[in-house]
Amino acid sequence: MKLNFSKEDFKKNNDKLIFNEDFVKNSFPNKRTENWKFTDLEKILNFNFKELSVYNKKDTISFNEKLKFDHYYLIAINGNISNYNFGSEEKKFRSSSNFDSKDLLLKSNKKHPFENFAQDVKNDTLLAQNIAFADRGYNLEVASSPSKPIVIYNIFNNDLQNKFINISNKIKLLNSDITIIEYNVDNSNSSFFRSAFQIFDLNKSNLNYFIVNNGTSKSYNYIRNKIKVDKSNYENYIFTSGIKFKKEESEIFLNSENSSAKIMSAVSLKNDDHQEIQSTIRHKKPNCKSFQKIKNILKDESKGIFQGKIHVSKEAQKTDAYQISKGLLLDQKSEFSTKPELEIYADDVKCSHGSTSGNIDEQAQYYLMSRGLSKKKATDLIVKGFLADVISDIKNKDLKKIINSHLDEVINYEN
Amino acid sequence: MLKILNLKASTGGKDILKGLNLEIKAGEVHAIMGPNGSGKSTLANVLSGKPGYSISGEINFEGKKLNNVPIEERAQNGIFLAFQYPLEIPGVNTSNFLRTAINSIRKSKGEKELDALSFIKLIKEKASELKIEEKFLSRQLNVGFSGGEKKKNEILQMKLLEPKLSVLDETDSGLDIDALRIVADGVNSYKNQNNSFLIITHYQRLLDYIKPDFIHVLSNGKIIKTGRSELGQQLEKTGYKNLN
Repeated sequence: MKLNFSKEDFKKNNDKLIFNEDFVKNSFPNKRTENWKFTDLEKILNFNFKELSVYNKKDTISFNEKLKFDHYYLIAINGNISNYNFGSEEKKFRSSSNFDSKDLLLKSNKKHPFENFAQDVKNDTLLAQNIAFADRGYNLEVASSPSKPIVIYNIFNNDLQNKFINISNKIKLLNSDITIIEYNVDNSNSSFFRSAFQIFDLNKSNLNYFIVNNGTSKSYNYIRNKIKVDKSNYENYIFTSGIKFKKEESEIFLNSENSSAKIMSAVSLKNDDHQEIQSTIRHKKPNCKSFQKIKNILKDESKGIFQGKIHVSKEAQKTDAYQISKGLLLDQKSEFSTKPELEIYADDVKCSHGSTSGNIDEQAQYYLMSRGLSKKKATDLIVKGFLADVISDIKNKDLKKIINSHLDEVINYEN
Repeated sequence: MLKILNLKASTGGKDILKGLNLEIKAGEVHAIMGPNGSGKSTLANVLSGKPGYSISGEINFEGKKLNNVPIEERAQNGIFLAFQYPLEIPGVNTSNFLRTAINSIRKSKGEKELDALSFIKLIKEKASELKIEEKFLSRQLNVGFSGGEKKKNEILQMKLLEPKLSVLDETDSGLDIDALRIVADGVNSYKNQNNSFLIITHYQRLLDYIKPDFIHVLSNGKIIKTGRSELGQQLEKTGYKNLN
């Protein structure tokens, strides 16, 4: 696989270069690296792309398929902000932030959000590439509680075949109680590689962050999140069924007492879909809570992966951390891999993890069929129930409805 | 309604039913008693079509051979099994499940499916007859239900689906006296001359509430004795040992 980019692209964000062009060009992580042992990115990209060209077009296209519930929105076309609407509350955002729809953070302050972490760039091609090429994204700062949820429409269109899109996003919250829905719609019908590096900075805030995919996507996605949680609660719900390839890495820092983090995921994978979630939760201070529930339905030759690490510092007494991952395999060829890890240096903590994978419960199937349900209906109910378990405590009714119909759609198999 | 001729059933290479004969007519209540391991639950499972058994002999339901009819068609034709151990199904809302079940059965009969409103009206009515609280219906199917709640839920399903033949597999086990009475009342109020019951139990007590027309003793895969309701009281005193 060949990576194409112009000298200008390479230099744009990169006047104080800390890595060389060859390094950026030649290497993607492969399974020899522990983090990537279940997802050999190098092999996957080589197999699916002859070449990748850095995408630098800034598309702005009107998008009219908005969700039918009361919300504010931000529209990103191929990662580039094209429009937004915060209604009469726009001032709340402006007064508290430097949010700008046209001129994003990279140009305005010339700093990549991950620059603070750039010490490891020497071995980190994906970061190096993102620093070099990221030319789009948003910088959303909110210092109050908006009255409506915000939907970030992440729209992909145009011909993106063999394109490499580099995105950098930042969400900064202060005294904010906020629900954000990242709603992905891929109308491009092409195979492209998207790399997104995102910072979440929460201070005295509650963030409910949903990721919902609508329809199918032939895209390959790598997403890396650094999430700083100070006197805050972070909740992340992931519903990314339909995306062919995705690896999402989240590193969460519980930086002050009584903070919490939650990751809930329900996806249904089929064909040769490959999706991985890798989380590292760092309990830095006492009395913090983390909770993770990962559910995968797998069919055909799909692969689902969860690598979850809970790190408890010496200082972080009274930590309460829990992690469970479950794979439901509908046939013989699919795979569900998990690697739970606990690294605990404090002595008064409650940490547990569990992982199961198995086939559909035939007894349950028989029970439902004995009430007149066809085998397909019985199976659908069980499968839907397996996933719906994750959404039982979502309070926003509109959102619950949207996710419910998303789940109905993704479990509706042909056979 | 149900006619079983020389029914043999085995599972995992083990013969369990060894030539069972039984006839149940419309409007009749039959009870089956018998020692542990005699094949009572196997009979219930085989009637409902549970996979995993090899079967010979004949089961006729309403004049049609039942042996190879799929599970859901048996339910649609009017056979209902109240499970001894109802399954917990996480994430499946009880009320949604009940609606799916009743509509699957209505659809199979060519009847119109119930809309949400008429379903809610119906389910509320049936639930209150069994003293089931409404909030129970919005819980996940049998998940975290007490033994009594699970059994009541089975009877609720029976009343909702209106089967012709109801097989109750140890529905009385794990019930306290009040719940037993509610369940028995539920059965009695549903009983009429067009439907029939096959009640599997270990104890006479349930049969004090639901009066059977016949009591059969199942032992080692065969019915070894049939009598009227006095047989139950007799068994209570003497046990199964002296029957052979």
